[in-house]
Amino acid sequence: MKVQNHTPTLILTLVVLSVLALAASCLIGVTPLPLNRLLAAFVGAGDAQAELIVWEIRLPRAVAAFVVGMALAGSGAALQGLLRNPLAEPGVLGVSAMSSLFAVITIYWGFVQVSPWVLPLAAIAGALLATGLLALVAPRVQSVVTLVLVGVGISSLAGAFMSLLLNLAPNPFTLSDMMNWMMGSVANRSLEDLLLATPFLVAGAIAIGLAAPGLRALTLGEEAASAIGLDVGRSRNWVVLGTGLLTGAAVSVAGAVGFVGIIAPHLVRPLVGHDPARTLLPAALLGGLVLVVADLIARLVPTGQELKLGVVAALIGAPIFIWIAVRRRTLEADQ
Amino acid sequence: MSLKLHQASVTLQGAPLLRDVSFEVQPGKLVGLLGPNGAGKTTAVRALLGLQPLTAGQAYLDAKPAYSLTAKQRALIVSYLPQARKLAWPISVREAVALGRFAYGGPMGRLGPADAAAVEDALSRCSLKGFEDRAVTSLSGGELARVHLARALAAQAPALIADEPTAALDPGHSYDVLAALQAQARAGQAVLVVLHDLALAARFCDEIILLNQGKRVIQAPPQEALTPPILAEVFGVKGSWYRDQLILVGRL
Repeated sequence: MKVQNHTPTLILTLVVLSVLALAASCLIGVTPLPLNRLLAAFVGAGDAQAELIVWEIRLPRAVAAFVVGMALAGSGAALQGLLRNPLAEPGVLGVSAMSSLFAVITIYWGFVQVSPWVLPLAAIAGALLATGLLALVAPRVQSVVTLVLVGVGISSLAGAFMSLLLNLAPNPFTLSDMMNWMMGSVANRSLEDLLLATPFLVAGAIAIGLAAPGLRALTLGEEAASAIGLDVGRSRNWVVLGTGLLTGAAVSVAGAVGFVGIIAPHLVRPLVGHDPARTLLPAALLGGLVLVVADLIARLVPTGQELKLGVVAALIGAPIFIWIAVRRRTLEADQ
Repeated sequence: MSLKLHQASVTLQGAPLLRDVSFEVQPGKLVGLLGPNGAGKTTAVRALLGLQPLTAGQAYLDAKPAYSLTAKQRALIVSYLPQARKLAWPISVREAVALGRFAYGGPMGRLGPADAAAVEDALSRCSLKGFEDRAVTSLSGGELARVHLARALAAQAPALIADEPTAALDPGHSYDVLAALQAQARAGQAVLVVLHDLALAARFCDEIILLNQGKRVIQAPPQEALTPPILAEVFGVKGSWYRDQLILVGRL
């Protein structure tokens, strides 16, 4: 079995495909507009209606899908490196659920009226709570399966509180607002919403970047990683902080979108020689690409009510998750 | 440059794992750390490295208190090979060996030409040429043990500690590993190796440190450390020396 490493080619391909997908996302939509009007609007020389559609509706939405995908897939790749398990992911480990619970709480009690920063900060606090809890438990439980179960527990707990809040929701408007965050969607996002999340996304990306060489060392296990000179505790803190910030910021933009954090790193890994550090960037790019395409599908499928992005992602992602889990088991049985 | 444990005691949840243990590993010596199961061999190694907090006593690496060193400083003094665990991802053999140079890397883990040369040298010394691009998960037990050893050699630290590097290896591969460690000692490294195979230790080691129930029994050359009375008392086995070979006869 030869190990392949095509990292530069892969990154270049993913960047090109992402730009194409983003462009397609701006050009295709429910309101049919001729290509020349759209292209004119793109460069700022179009009519008011076309410019509004491109700059205020389609572009923010496409970019939102892209950054959310990048953040979640990057978080997934980092958590997988830290926990040495391909099934670790913000959705599976309950990080997204905890984050969207906190977001929903601010909506439920109307804290969102206080300041536009309340919701992103709450979402990040929820995500950090979950990642911190997992990092605290991880060194105590040797089995990765146990850790995934702890994540499932966190996820269920957050889900239960969420159902409680839905159950007690005072009016249908609050209810529909809350549902948005539970199901995950990038519809009607403005550039302002994205700007609000940007500082957290940047900080999270930097934290993960600082953890990257440590993730490579952790391939050997924690004791051996420490033996070759890694401060394991510090690496763990960077990943906890980074994934908390990235997942929280992603949830504040789009709500809980699952499974992209598992699919993207899994597809990328064989092409970068399975190195957890080299997996990060291409996985993030692929995650962005996947969500832009998934959002395009959500917009174009002719259903009465528009499909939610989170639903499309889960419908694609959950079967792949099961496939990876089953395959991993047979692999372990071989050894 | 030496590794030194001075009157070290470790008590974990009321159970004494190490009791007043002192020993020293000098450069140029291959020292075997032996003892029955549960004698405290791994605890002693981790205590020496500053990875296991001491309840009493001191541990020195190159005359510096072990606990005061950062992971990186420690890695530059001692190359430590813990008991082999499976690697998490099927990375290539070359990259697994290159991890031995982790402590030399810059902030983003970049390695220079000196590191590449050290990796190549370690690969050839562990007969891993031709295996460089193989996935570590596709290797046999013997090949994987050579990869771990090559990683420890690539570090080119002045001292080397290996915890049961021959576990799960057949006799031929065990000899290869011990011969490699012996060559390191001859080249001036201070080498401490935890072993279970008494005959193997007797054949290759310059000195034996014998632990029993958390206490040091003796530190001496093999013929003086593994005498029939000591073998009987510590391991409960009957053994005798024939010229310079230790022969184990059976359970007492």
